[in-house]
Amino acid sequence: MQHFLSGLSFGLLLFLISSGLTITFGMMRLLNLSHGAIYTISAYIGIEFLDTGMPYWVAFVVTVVLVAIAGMALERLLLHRFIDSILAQIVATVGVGLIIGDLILAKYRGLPILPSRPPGMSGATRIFGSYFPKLRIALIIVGVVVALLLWLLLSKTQVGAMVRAAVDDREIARSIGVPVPKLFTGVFGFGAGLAAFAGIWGGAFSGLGPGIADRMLLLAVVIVVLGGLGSLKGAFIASILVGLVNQYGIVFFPQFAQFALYVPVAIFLAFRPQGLFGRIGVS
Amino acid sequence: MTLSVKPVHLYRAGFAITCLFLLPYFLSSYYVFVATRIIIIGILVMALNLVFGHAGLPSLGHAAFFGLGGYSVALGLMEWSWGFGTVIIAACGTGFLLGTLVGILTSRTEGIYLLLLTLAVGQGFWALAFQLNITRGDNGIAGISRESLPFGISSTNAYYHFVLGISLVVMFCLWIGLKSPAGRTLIGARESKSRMEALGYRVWVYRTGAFAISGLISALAGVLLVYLQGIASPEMLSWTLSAEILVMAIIGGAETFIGPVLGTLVVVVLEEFVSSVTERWMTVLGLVFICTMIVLPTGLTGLISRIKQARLRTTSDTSSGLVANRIPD
Amino acid sequence: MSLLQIESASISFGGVQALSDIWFSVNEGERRAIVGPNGAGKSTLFNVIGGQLRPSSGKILFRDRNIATLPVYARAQAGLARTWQITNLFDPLSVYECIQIAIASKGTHRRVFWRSLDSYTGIRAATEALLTEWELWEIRDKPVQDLAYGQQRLLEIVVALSGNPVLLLMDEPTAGLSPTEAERLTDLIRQLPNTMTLIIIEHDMAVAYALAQTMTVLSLGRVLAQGPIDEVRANPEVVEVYLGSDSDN
Repeated sequence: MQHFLSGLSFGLLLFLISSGLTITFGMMRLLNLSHGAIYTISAYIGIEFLDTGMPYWVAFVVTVVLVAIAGMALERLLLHRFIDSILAQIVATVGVGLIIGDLILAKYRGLPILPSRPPGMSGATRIFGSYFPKLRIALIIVGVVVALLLWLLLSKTQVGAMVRAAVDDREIARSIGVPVPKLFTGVFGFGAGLAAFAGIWGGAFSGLGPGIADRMLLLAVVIVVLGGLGSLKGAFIASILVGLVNQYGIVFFPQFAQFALYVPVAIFLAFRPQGLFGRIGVS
Repeated sequence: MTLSVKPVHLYRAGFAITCLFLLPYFLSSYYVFVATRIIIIGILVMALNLVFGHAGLPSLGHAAFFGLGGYSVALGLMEWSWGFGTVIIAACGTGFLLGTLVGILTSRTEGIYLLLLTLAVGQGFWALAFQLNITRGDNGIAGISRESLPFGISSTNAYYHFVLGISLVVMFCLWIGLKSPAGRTLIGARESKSRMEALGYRVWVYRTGAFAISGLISALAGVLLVYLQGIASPEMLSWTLSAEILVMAIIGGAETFIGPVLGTLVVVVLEEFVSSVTERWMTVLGLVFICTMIVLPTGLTGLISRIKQARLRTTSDTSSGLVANRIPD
Repeated sequence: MSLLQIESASISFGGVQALSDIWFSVNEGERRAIVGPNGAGKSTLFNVIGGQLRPSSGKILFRDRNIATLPVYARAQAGLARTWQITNLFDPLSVYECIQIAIASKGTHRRVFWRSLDSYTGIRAATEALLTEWELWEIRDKPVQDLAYGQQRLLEIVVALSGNPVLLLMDEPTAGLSPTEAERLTDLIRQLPNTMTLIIIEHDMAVAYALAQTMTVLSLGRVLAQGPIDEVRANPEVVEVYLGSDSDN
C-alpha cells in the first residue's frame, strides 16, 4: 500500500509537470525541451524568496507567477517563431535549457538543494497502518484537485473552449475568432507556472540537483506521448501509470526498473503512435 | 538537392584530406585526441543523418547504437576477453540488428511520433547500461587500452590516422549509397512517401535498411570512441547525446552530404574553445543554438549556398548584357 | 476486356459515408471521365483504386485479380499509376532526377545500394527519351520547386506514366491551368497510346468531353449515371445535379 501511494504521489507530481507540456504541444505543436529546466529553476527561485524571509505561501505564489510571466515572455519573444518547425524547436529549446541549466550551475555550483516543505507538512501520518510522509499525501490531494480544476477549466469555461478548439484545428479556430497567438502565449505561461508549482513541491521531497531537470523532462515527454499529444485525460492516466510502474519497478526489479518502463512504452507507441487518447493527422 | 560532383569539389576534398592527414604533426597530443574525438562524433552524426537528413526520419535514440558499440568493446575486452575482430563483428552486428528492429518498429510512424518513439527505445537501452550489474552502472567500465589493437595503432597519432581512415571509408560508402538507386529511393521517400509508393517502391524496406546501416555505423563509432578514451559509460547512451548530434546535423545542414560534418566541427570546436575561455560555455552553446535557428534555419550549408548565390548575382550584374538576362536561382 | 472492375465498394470515415455501393467497370484502352460536384467522392474513389484507402466492403478486381488488400506499391508494380490533384513530386530534385527515379522503380536494380544510379545507361537513355518526347529537355536540371505551375502539372503526368502503366488515374490534370495551358495538356494526354487505359477526374466538362468516350457521374458517394459520354450528359438527373455547380465552373 505504501508503494501504491508513493507511486501515486510521484505520478501526480509528473502530471503537474506534463499537463502544461501536453496542452502546449497539442495546441501549438511546440515541443518544449526546456520544460525540465523550468521545473528545476523554479525550485531555486522559490528558495531565494524563502531566504528573504517571506512566508512560505507568499513565496510560493510569487515564484509561480514570476515563472509563468517569464514563460509568456519566452514564448512571445522567441518560441513563437518556431511554431511550425519541430526541428528548430528542438534546437532552440535545448539551447534555452542549456542556458537555464548553466545559470543554475553558475549560481549554485552544482550542489544539490532541498527546498523546504510547505508548513504543516513535515513528518508523516499513519495511513492504512503505516507511516507515510504528509507531503506526499498532500501531493496526491493537490494533484487530483489540480487535475479536476484543469478539467473544469477546459470543459466548462469559454477560455477552455477556445483552447480545445485551437488544439483541434488551429486554422479553423483562428477563422472563428479565437485569438490564437495570445492564447498560445497564455497557455505556455500557464504550463510554465504548473511546472514551477511542481518544481517547488517536487523538489521538496526528492531534492534537486544537476540531472534532475533532464530526468523529469524525459518522463514528462514520455507521459505526454503515451497519453496522447494534447490530451489532458491521457496525460493524467499516463502519469499515474508511469508513477506506479516506476515505483513498483524500483521495488521489484531494481536492475530493470527503467528498462521495464521504457520498453513497454516503446512497443506501445510502435503500434499506436498517437498514444492513448491522441489523434494523428491533426495539423 | 542534387549530389553532383564537380572537379573543384574533388580538389577541395583532396586538400582537406591532406590537411587532416598532416594534422598530428602540427598539434600536441591533447589536440590530436580532441581531433580524433571530433572525427568519431562526426562519423556518428553522419550515420544519424542517413536516417534523419536524407531519409527524413528524425531519431532521438541514436545514442543507443553508439553505446551498444562502446559497451561491446568494454564488455568484450574486460569480461569476455574478446579479440579486436570479435569486438568489431559483435558491435557492428548488434548495431545492424538493433537498427533493423528500430526500422521495423518505426515503419508506421513519422515526424514527432517517430522522434519520441526512438527516444523511448534509446532510453530503454540507457536504462540497461545504467542498471545492469555487469555494466557497473554510473561508473561505467574503465581501463580499456589500445594495446590489444592490431597493426600497431595504439599510439595517439597512429590511432588518429586509423580513425581518419575509417571515417573516409564510411563517408565514401555513404556517398555512393546515397547516389545508388536505394539511396535515391530514401531521398525521394523523404520528399513524398506517397509518390514513391505509387511508383511501386516498398518504402518501409528501404527505411529499415537505412536504420540498419545507420545503426551499424553508429556502433562502429562507439567502438572507436571507447578505444580512444578507454572508458565506456552510460553517458554514451544518454538522450542528451542523441539530442546533441541531432542539433549538430541541423546546424550543419541536414539535407546535404557534408552539412553534418560541418555541424559537428562547429559545435565541438565551440565547446572545446569556449570552455577553455570561460566556465559559462553551456550558455554560449545555448545562445549559438538559438541564434542559428533564428538566422540560419537551413543550417550552415544553407548559409554557404546563399553566399555563393549572392556572389553569383553580383558578378552577373556587373558583366555584359548577355549574362544579365540570366535569372539567378 | 474488363481491366478494372469495382463491385459494391463502400467506405466511410468519421461517420460520413464517403462511398456507398460503387459498381464501376473500365475496359482496356477505354478513356473514362469521372465527374461530380465537390464532395461527391471522386478523389476517394481514386484513393480506393490506388490503395491509399481500403474500402470497408466490396471487391476491386484488376485484371480479374482482387487487389482490395494489396498495398499501394504492389498495385503500382502490377501496372497501376496515378497523379494527384495537388502536385505530388519531389520539390528539391530536378526534373531529370524525378523521371529517373520513376523509371528506376521498375526493375531489379532498385535494391542496389553499392552503385550509383547514374551509372545505369539503360535508365539514362529512357530518362532522356522521355524528357525529349515531352519537351522537358530544356528544363531538365531545374528543381521541381522552381518550375512554373503548368510545368509541374505536366511533370506530374510524365512521372506517372514513365513506368508504362496499364492503367493511369489522373486527378484533375488541368486543375489551375490557364485555358491555353489546359488545351495544350489535353492535346498531349489525347496522344497517349491505346495500350494505356485512362481514368480522369475532371471538373472542366470541356476537357472531359475532349478526352473521354465514357463518363461516370458521382454524387454524394454514389454512382448517379454511367455510360457513353453523350448519353450521360443528357441524363436529366445529371443535369439537375450540375445545375447548381455549373454556374461555378
